Amino acid sequence: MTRQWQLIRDAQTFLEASKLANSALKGIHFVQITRDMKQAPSASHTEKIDDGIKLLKKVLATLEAREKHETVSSEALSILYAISQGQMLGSTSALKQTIVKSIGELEKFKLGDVESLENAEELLEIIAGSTAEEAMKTSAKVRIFMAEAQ
Amino acid sequence: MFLVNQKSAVLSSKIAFAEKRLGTISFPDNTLEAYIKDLADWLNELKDNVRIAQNEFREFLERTNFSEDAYLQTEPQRRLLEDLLRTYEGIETSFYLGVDAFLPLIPVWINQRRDETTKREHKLLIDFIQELLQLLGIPREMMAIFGESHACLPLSWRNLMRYVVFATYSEIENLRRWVILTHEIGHIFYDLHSEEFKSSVIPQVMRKLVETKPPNIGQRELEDIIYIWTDKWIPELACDCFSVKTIGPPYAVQFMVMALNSKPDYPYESHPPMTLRVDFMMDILESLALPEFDVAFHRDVWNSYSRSVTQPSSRYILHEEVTKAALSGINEIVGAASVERGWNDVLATRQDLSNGKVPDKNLVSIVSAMALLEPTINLEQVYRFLLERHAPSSYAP
Repeated sequence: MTRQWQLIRDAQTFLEASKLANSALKGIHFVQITRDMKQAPSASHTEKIDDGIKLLKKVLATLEAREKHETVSSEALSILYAISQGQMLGSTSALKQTIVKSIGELEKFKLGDVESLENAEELLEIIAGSTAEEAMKTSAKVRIFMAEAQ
Repeated sequence: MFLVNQKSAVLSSKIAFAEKRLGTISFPDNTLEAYIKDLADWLNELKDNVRIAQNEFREFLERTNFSEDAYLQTEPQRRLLEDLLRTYEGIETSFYLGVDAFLPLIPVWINQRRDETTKREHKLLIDFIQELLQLLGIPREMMAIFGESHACLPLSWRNLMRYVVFATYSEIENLRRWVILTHEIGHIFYDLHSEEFKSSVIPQVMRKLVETKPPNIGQRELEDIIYIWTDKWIPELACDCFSVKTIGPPYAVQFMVMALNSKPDYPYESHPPMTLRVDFMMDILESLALPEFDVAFHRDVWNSYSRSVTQPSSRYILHEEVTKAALSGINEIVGAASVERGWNDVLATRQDLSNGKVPDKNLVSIVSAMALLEPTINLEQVYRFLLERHAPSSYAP
């Protein structure tokens, strides 16, 4: 009755969340660099930003579902846990506001209506960084277990 | 060659190594063949991920003129490099979780199946696991091996979940302890029913945690406690509920032996307090009212230790309303107790075993009956008999 199932499932969930946030960040930064060069960004890069919008919508839906006691996403719960470890979480209502603003910013950024992202970039950086860190921490614990098992 | 490209090359060589190893396995059995096929698909996906990461880095070089002898100038360029490096971290972690953790288990599986000293015991284990899976309506072949301790290794390959169940090597001959493996199968049950847990129990538990939150608990601590309950304790309690409804008293009895420690009320981050788990199981058994199992007696046995060495915790995480919502919700989802159908068989088998006879019953019933017998009864002959029944001396896999 070890923690192996928990550890690996945790690492997998954190990793998926990190991949989505990171994909959006790559999209944002490729688009920024391209625009700095006065060129039109490619569709493949702007589409990556959708990964971030989807992820933030999922976190927002989970925060709202928590209030209404409805179905939650385990990926979103893991994100909330991971970002709470980094002291970023003030209150739920403040986080919801930041997420709503971030989604709006990303939509406008994709269309080229805004050049900089006040909230979205930082929020995605925190999600990508903290979930990647949790995934690495967790998989390090798995390594110890597997070494013993093998 | 850029360091990043070297990293790509290392990852590609690891994937190629894994493919080569899979290619060298001649005549795999049906179970292993199914795992190999899924892993091969996953390796293809990892190859795609590496290729995409290489292309992204190539494009980054074109757009930034990055060279390894100078720092990047603009913030988006620096940030993008960080994102690209994080992508490689992700692929490495994926490789570890899906390939490195599994690949070395293949020779262990092959060896335990074929080796003269383990092949019969391994066959007995596989038969036990397959019977359990059949009983639970989980129709799939499952790798099971003797390892360091009871455990369940989940492998997430693309959208497909595979599992490897570990049984404790030093308990090969102690079939009483095998009933604990039901808990590990319970993790598979939990994954298969995770949507039901997410839509009912988890929201209810979170609601109670918010409603009963004392003023001195901040948002961060609340998130920690929500995470512990939803991500760790609910799955563990669900596995216990599943086990006790499948195997019944034998699981509870062997669990008590395993769980007895000096801190029965301590809420570990990974597992709920042992006393909470035992109480939960006893409540379920009480509601099932199975003949010839004295729930009150077993409660008293547990409490004679737990109440002597500790007191129930008054921590917020264990608020009565929270645990009540969790336990009743889990009980509802796990549903019908298959042990009710098989319990008379277990009792009859126990009687036969006490009289020195091994009946022609299924392995799960016999192992369950063994777990209920007085620990002073030597069951080595029964073990030898079962070994011969399931894997005769002439057995060749």
